[in-house]
Amino acid sequence: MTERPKIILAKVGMDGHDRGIATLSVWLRDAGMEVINLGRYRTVPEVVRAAIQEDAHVIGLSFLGGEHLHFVPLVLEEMKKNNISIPLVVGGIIPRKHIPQLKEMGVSGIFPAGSSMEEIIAEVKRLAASDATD
Amino acid sequence: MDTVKTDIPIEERYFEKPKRLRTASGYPLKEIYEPEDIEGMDYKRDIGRAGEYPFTRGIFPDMYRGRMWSLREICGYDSPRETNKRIKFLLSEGESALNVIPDLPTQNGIDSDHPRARGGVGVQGPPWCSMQDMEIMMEGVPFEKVSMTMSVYLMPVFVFYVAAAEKAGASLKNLRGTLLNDTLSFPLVRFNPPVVPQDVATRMTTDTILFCDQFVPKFYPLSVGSEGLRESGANAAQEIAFDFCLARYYITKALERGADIDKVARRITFTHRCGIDIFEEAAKFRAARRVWARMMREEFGAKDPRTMTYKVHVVTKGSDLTAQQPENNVIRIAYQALAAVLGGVQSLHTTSLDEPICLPTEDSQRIAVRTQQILAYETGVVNVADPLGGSYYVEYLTNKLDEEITKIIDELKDDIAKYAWEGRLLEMMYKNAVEEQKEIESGEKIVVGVNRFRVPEEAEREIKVHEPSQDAVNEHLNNLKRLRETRDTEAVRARLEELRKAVEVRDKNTIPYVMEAAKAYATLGEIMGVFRMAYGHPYDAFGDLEYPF
Repeated sequence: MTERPKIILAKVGMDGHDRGIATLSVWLRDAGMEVINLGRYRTVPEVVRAAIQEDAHVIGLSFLGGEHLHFVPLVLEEMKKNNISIPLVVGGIIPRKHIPQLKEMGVSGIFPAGSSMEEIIAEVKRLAASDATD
Repeated sequence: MDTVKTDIPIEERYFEKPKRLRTASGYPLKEIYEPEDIEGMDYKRDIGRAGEYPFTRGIFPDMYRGRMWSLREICGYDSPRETNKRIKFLLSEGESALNVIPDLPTQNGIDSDHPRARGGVGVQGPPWCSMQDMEIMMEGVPFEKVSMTMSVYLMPVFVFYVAAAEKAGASLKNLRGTLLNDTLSFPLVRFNPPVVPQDVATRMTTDTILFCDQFVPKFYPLSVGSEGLRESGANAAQEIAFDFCLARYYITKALERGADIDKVARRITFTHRCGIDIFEEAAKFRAARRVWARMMREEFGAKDPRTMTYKVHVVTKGSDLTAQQPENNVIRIAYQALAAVLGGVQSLHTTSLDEPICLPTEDSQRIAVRTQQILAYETGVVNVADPLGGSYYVEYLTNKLDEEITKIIDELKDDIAKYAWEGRLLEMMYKNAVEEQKEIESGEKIVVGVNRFRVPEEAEREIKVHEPSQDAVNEHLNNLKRLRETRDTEAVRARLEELRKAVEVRDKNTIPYVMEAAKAYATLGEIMGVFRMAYGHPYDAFGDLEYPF
């Protein structure tokens, strides 16, 4: 892959806990990725539009307010509507028992609180590369 | 034969030494502290007895002998009705005070039927759209006998509570409780500036302070606590310094409207976090009391000793907890609570072991309550005021934190609103958060179960998870729909118009008008919208709704 892997990070909905994506942005950049952090209070269409415009390889969403089961299907639906099929990863306060459900919906990577940065970076890079070779 | 798997070789473990010889905030430490480390310190001037200026040792002479700290667990679930059940549960488990945090749409000043609220209604707490929700939530709970903290920044919610209390026959002068009301923290903690613009924010906070002083004298109208800042990465000194700067800002605004320092500052409290570094945290609360007393007396000329006392509600720090092996969090929380009580705090919320996973279940919240009860009734920490006072180490750390806090205040105090609004404070926090994460990844900072002493994924035990009840949320949404259909629309319109005119007169106290609107069942979104319009902003912060009247 010649291109630098590019990820869109965002929080959708009303939850504003953004330490996670703010920290992750720095780590992913240091690991050589291009990071576009849309920040908090984003709407589903805004995130998907940004992913298309930026030609991103991965979308990463962070949820700490318990809204993941509501928003993830909406994001996936919006992606489908716009014909983009890049991997979606989510992180934050996500109970273990929701992981199978999220995977079933089509989420490619799930990083609950306490995941190591190393682990997240490796997985995101792998997903970005698999998207770029598709 | 099976080999024993260890994260470091067994022979090394026997001789293992601690690697990180610094406080949680990073101050380097010596192996022992001696009299020369606190040279120049004067007992009467710098420490003094508890209950005496500069209050380093505590705000009351007898501290917990006179009154235990308030056992105040945050709760809030699904709908006002579900929250009513949990309030009754916590009171029956021995809690002495209440603390309810509403859902995210309410925290952002929008009603549950706003298009942006979808997905967030009832998820993180109950929605409070009107006085009706307070009536449901407080059904059967005696208003005059409980102290209610509303963990929300928005004054109309406080008015809903007060109006519901009055309707239930309570007298305003007997109401106890706290409103966070620290509106400048909006952009710091979780809110974007447009949700509540700075001018509206300042007006709401100031009006509440002035109104409570006159009419709800036992209520604390402002608890400064850009709480999330600490969780976002602020260190101990930054946490105190930022909030003292914010408090200074509100006080200055109230003084500009002709208030007296001893009237406005006396009822200001703080909400702070307590981390797991026991001595640094205890020293932080001691230093905070000294710095606040000095600021009130020397800078603002306060005369009443109550104005000079730093009164604090403490939440044990969630970002020290781990999603891995969550039972271990019970132990972490107990140490955090111990540090807070050694630091002489007035009110305490111990988080639950499932904090990094979901909202607390009844079971996990019972353990949190018991953690405080064991501390209060079994360990003996309540017997003597400021048990750490006079320790060379703790006095050294107290001086160190005093110095750091003062330095940061001097740097930021004149521009705090600007720093808060333009995101500079947040940038500082994130820098710390990145550093902290680096220390964890490199193994310098050890977090049990995260970078050492892990168990395999399959050995991680499932814990019970709170799942929001959609039925409860639907019931609430129906209530709101019915309310809009059945309330006297003409009365709502008239009360909101009167409110708008009152907001336009900049030095008029708006609370009596909000009260009338609340009694006519105007909603949070409508009242916030009227304030916004009166200051020249669009009715809806998100541009989705038009003013309905």
